[in-house]
Amino acid sequence: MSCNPRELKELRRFPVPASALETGRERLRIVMAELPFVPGTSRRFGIFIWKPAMTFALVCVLVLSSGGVVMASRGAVPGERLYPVKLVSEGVQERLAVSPARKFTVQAAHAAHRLEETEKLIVNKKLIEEDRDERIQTALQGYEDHLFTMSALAVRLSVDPPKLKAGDRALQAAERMFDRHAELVDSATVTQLVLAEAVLEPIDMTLDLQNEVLEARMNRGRERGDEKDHDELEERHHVRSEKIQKRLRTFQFELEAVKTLENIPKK
Amino acid sequence: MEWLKEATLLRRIRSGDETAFVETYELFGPKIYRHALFRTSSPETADDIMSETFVRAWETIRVKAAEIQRLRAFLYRVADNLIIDHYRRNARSAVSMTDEIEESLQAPGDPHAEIDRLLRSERLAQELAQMRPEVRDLLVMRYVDDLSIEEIASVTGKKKNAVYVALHRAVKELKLACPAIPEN
Repeated sequence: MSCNPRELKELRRFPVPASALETGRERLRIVMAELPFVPGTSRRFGIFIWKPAMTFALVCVLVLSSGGVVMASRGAVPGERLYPVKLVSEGVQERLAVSPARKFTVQAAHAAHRLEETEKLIVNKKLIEEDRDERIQTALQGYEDHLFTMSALAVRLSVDPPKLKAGDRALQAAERMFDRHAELVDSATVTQLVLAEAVLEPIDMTLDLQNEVLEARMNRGRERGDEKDHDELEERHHVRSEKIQKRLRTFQFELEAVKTLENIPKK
Repeated sequence: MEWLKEATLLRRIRSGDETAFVETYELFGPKIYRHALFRTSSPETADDIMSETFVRAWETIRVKAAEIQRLRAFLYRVADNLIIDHYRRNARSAVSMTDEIEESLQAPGDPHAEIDRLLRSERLAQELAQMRPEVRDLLVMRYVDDLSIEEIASVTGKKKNAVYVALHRAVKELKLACPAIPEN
């Protein structure tokens, strides 16, 4: 067992005693019978919005305008008005993906989007520092969520390998995402420690997943009797990992230096 | 699509449909129970907090439904207040799964996988119980309850930025706790 936060998700299935739920339900029924709902101003939009004609018109407008809005939202970053639209459209794509390999491919693409957004936010000098940090953290939290899902899917894929083409597409999507992550780590700022820490936080998880993907690609090569590009794969993996490790060491060194400077008493 | 269900329930409650609140209990009752269990490490307390959360939530919602924007965040906020009251009054004990394991042994089919899962859960819960309350609470809210950073900020009354940084540190602390957990 590891202490990875994803293990904690296992606790979502922790059994809840039926007797506890029954007792709570019974008590709630008694209280609700004694204290009924008090109608007030809460129905302010009820009559308006649920008139069938209005609802129909609203749905038509939404359907007709949604295509354009989704297109426009593609370049949105956290904090922008169209960003939730982007996330919803990605969520739809994730739900439409049926096979684990397809799901993995979609997750990798969306994880790369989160890294792209982080990069855009880092270089955007127009934003106030605090606001920018918050937006970057939103993007990185999204990246981490995609990593959790991808790790779980990787386990499924290793147990039950997908069809050749679908599997290749999934692994290539993951490779593209890792490249982007390596670039981001390389350019991550160290002048703002909280931000740099946030950028570097998912590294362990990314490296673990990278190793799994490398292994899967090599196994696939062996199955086909084609091991000629293994050296190239390993070399690329090695270069990428080295780059990340180097950046990590520099960051730790700079962090220590800043801490030391902070501890020197001012005259 | 839980958010859609949640929004529909809130709309129905606002329109005076009391059965929607009973459905809210069915949807969120088990989640609030787990939330309370992992934060207090006591099944009895988790029972009480779950039940009390919905009673208090109803007392508020029956008169102020229009003021509630997010049902889930509201319920967790009520539970959070009750848990804080509990912290002030009591010390914690460890979570035990003995009853559930006995039930699994008597259940039809292969009980081993289920027992394995229960034991893993028990160990995780015990590991959580040993962590500092502020760290444990954050981990439970984010990874067990699946609350967003925004919702955690709303429940705890902290800024989103502060929640993210605290969560980031909590994850590190959790990773450092690894050697304390036996392999099997």
